[in-house]
Amino acid sequence: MEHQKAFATQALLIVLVGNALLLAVAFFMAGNAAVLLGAGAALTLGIWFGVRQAGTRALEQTATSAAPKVEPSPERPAIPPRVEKPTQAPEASAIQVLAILQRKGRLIDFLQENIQPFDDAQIGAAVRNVHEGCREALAEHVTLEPVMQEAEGSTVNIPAGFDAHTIRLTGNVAGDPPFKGEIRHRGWRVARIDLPELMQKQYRIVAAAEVEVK
Amino acid sequence: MSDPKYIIGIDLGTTHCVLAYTSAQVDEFEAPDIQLFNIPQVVSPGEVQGQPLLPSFLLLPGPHDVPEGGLVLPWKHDMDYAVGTYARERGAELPARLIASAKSWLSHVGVDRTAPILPWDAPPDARRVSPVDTATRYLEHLRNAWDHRMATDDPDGRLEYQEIYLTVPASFDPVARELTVQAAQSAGFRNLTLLEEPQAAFYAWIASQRETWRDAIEVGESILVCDVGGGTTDFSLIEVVEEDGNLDLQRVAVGNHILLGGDNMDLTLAYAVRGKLAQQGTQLDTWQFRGLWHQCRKAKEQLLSNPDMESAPIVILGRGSSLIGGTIRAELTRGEIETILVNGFFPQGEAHEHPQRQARVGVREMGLPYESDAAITRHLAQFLSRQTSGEGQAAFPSAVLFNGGVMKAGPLRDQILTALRRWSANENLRELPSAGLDLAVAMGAAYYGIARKGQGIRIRAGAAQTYYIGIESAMPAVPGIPTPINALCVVPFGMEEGTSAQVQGREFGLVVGENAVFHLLASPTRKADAVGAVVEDWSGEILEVATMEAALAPSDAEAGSTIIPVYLESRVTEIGTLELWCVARDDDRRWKLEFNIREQAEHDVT
Repeated sequence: MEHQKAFATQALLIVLVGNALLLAVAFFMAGNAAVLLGAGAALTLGIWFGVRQAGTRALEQTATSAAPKVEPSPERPAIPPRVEKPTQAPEASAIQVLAILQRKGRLIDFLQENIQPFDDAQIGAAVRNVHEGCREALAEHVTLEPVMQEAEGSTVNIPAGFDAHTIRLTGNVAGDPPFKGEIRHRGWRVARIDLPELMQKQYRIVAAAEVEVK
Repeated sequence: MSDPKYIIGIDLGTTHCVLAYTSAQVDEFEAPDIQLFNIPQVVSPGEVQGQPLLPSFLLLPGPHDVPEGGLVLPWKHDMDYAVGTYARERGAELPARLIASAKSWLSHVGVDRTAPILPWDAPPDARRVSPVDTATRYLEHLRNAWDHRMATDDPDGRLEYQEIYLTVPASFDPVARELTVQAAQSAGFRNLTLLEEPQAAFYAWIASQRETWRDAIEVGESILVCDVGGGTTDFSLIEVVEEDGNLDLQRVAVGNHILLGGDNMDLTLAYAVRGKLAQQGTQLDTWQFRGLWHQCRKAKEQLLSNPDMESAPIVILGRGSSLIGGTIRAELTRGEIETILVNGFFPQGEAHEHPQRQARVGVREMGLPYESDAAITRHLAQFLSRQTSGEGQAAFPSAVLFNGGVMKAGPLRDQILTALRRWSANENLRELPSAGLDLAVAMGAAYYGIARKGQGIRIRAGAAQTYYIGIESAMPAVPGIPTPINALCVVPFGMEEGTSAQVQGREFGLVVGENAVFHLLASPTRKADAVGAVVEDWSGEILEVATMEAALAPSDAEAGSTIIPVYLESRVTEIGTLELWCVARDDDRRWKLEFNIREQAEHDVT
């Protein structure tokens, strides 16, 4: 593009100078300045237009031939096909979530254990670890965001046509919206869920049994 | 070949790898957008997840160690090894099948790094690979992961067509650099350049400061990059100079290779807590000890980030499905952190207190040569006294840039800052804000790629040490006393990448048909020696790096024992490796000297 613009300007200059010389000669010979100037100007424009067209076309041709042809060269080996993944049962990802919480935070062990015989301090100590592990797992695989951005306890207006899936009204609900109310719970929405790809069939295993070979 | 689409920075770390990338179409007016690549990896048998960190662990399972097909990756279904998260987790239960810290092995001069020696203490029938192959597998994983994500529909997006900057510790010697390049080439990398990690961290700082970085530093000052990672500690000094009225940066010194990092610290804490438990009569098995190690790291982070906390609980959950009933409880106290970590690894010594070398008794076991003195501040004191005290050397640093996971802890950074302020009597010595201690190196490496296109400042670096060839002196031989060896300078300090130098005036006679062997020596402190200079008395200042050799095939006209006069030519390649060539004086033949990485009988030519 830069070349083409420059070329057009150069062509105009050359044609102008050439014509000026031609006109000067003609003026001395004929003497009618007005007619000559008009004809000269028309001639200048015409020639310039012609030269510019031809030149631009020539430039475009060189540009096309100079540009490298982007073709995958034959030496480039093809990318191996993706490994096919098995079809999974509908509950596979639910089991996967349980397995992750067990793996990272031992959540299933904790929930399955009878905590009756232990005192609070013992439970508390274990929960610290379970909480830490599950929290990390959650942060890694799921992004949660509150449904309502306002702080709990603040007063909000619920307009007409609100979505009953995302907002649950309690208390004195009478008549039609808009309603005025206080946020008791901001709600949670899953903004992102990113579970590991399952490359194998799910065997409904949340934790494999462990046998220490002696 | 078409132009690269991306600039890629790879941090091939001791404990994890990171890949950052940015478009190769650099826009002059826009701040570069450097992205982290989520590396797909096996996280559990049969499950693959993308994560920004790829733990540098290689698992070589036996036939019964993982379920069949459990290591399948989206791009390869017949995997018989694993790299990354699952390799680390499962490998901890199978130590004889796990390779960790391969990078430290790559720079270990005492072993043949191309021989299958890892895992080091595995039983004789275990699968083994070499340190170089291990690095290759990490890089191969990165390449396949990248191709899978970025090039499935676009062959031009493949990793091998991109511009790649691979980081190595500044203290890596020429052999370790060469081996890293070999590993990368075996993994299919083509367009490759090495970059020192502390420099990469510094580039990340520049990138994070945008245009204001020039205001944060002053001409004449020198900046310490203090990089304490999981397995190694690396120091570099970068000096701010003025060149034609512009600020210019120059890497003026790099430290020795120090095999000491965060893993050593956490392990030391875990041993201390295990001792306490043993006193109470509680014994831990290896599985529980691993849990303890992990817990100690967490407790350490909690205590170091909350100055009010007096102790952090350590809980090792019951091993069976009875979680609460089998729980073992202990605690890590502030006092222990202070004694073991702060004063053990970062003691407030004097500037002249250097690492204590303990005499080693008998035959040393050939495991990794961990530092015998764990005090990082003493290693730092030694580095600074070597690099900043003499004439023509760098100024004592007046600013510090920290890097590496260990340096996340404010109290540990303070220990180093306090020591530096005291040593230099400079109360204004300051800390430059880091751009993310775990990820800075990869991001900085990508930024370096942009800087090389002229869109940002480059640190002038070149050869990290001065290199010499050992030559026998001309003194008459005295029986029983080894002939003194002189050092002939072949690569001056800071020799730029992509340049070469001829060592004129000193010829060697090489015997055709035999191997020519040279001793490569190096000095981190002698920076004034020019090419061709001969150093006679160099005790302590110059150390042997490796031997190099070339086999001289005879030409048709030459008999077996013809001696060919040659001179040496040295070259620092664009990639960042060191090459030495023997050039025949009388014809146009030349032989490249290769690093000798295997132990062998040595015979010299001089």
